[in-house]
Amino acid sequence: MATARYSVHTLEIFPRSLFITRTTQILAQCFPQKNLVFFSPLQMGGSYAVAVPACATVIRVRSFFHFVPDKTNRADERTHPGWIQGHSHRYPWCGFIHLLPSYLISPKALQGAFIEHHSMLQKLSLQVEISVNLVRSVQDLLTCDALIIPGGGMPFTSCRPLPIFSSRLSESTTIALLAKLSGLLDPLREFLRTKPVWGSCAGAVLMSRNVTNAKKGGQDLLGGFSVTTARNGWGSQVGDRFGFTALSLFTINRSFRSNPLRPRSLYGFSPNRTDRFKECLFALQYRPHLFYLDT
Amino acid sequence: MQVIARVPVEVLPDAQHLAPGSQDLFDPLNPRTIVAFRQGNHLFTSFHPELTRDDRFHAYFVQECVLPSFATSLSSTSVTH
Repeated sequence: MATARYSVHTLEIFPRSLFITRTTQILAQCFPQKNLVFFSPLQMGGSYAVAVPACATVIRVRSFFHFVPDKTNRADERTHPGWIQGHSHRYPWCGFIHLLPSYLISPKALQGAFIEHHSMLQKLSLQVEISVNLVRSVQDLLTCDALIIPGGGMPFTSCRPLPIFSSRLSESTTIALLAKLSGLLDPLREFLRTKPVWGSCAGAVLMSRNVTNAKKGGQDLLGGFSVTTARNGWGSQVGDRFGFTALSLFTINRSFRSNPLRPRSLYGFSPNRTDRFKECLFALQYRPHLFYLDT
Repeated sequence: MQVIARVPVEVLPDAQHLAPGSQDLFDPLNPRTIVAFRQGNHLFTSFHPELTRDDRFHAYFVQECVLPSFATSLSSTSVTH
């Protein structure tokens, strides 16, 4: 049986990114087919010269947030087993740098009986071929049909210093600057007009129509969402109690952890039941933005 | 615009820790409590589902935003031809 071919790419504009991400695991949970094949960049050395059966579901992941194991992180993993190591707000070493990993989903083979297979696949729950790549250039972007623009997560001051960017830059401004330097701003805007994009955290700010509390002189935005976001809408998260609280809203807040709706109970969730999101929202929100909807 | 998720009131900080003028956050319909919504094919999350083991937002994006948009473009193409 032939399958629809999609490629899931990952946008990564940041220079010198160190990677580790749970993208692989997440996608594995998204697409629990038997013939799921993973290529780890660590195993593959970044190349993908592997013969794969035509019916296989291929997920190529090249976006890894950097993870530096140490005692602290292991302790954190012990106390919070539902969380990957290294993302505790208490140990913001992880410069995982915000990098904009984004998954781009592009149908690569649209000829033939693609439509029929596609409609069949819709009924069969995602028999699609997935590959995940980093996108660093306009050329990479042009090959993709969907995009995720993640944010960074940690305040930029917490990340390992980068040579050319001021630590006072926030994630969204940094992303915008890097996109600008890469000549991606306008291609990204064009992409937004026509193709699905998921903006998360700073990526969501970047996709907003307006931003309050923006840096002096404003910042480049991609648009796409008819909302105004407030950067640091709940106040600075660096060193003040409120920021701490906001930071822990969905993560290590003890009262939340004692909530019966723990993450492990959320598996098997049906995406169509979006109302469940309200009940069981569970995610990191490092830099809580508040949103003022225009409409 | 379809609101997908809001900050639950019960996880908001205590009122005394909120910035002045933010008391209306406790209004469950306040748009400022929205943390995830969908507009067209675009998905907006103010947080980091990719850092958790909760894959629902990824599944949601692929299944609800990406794949349907391809289906639409494909069927329109077929009509053209």
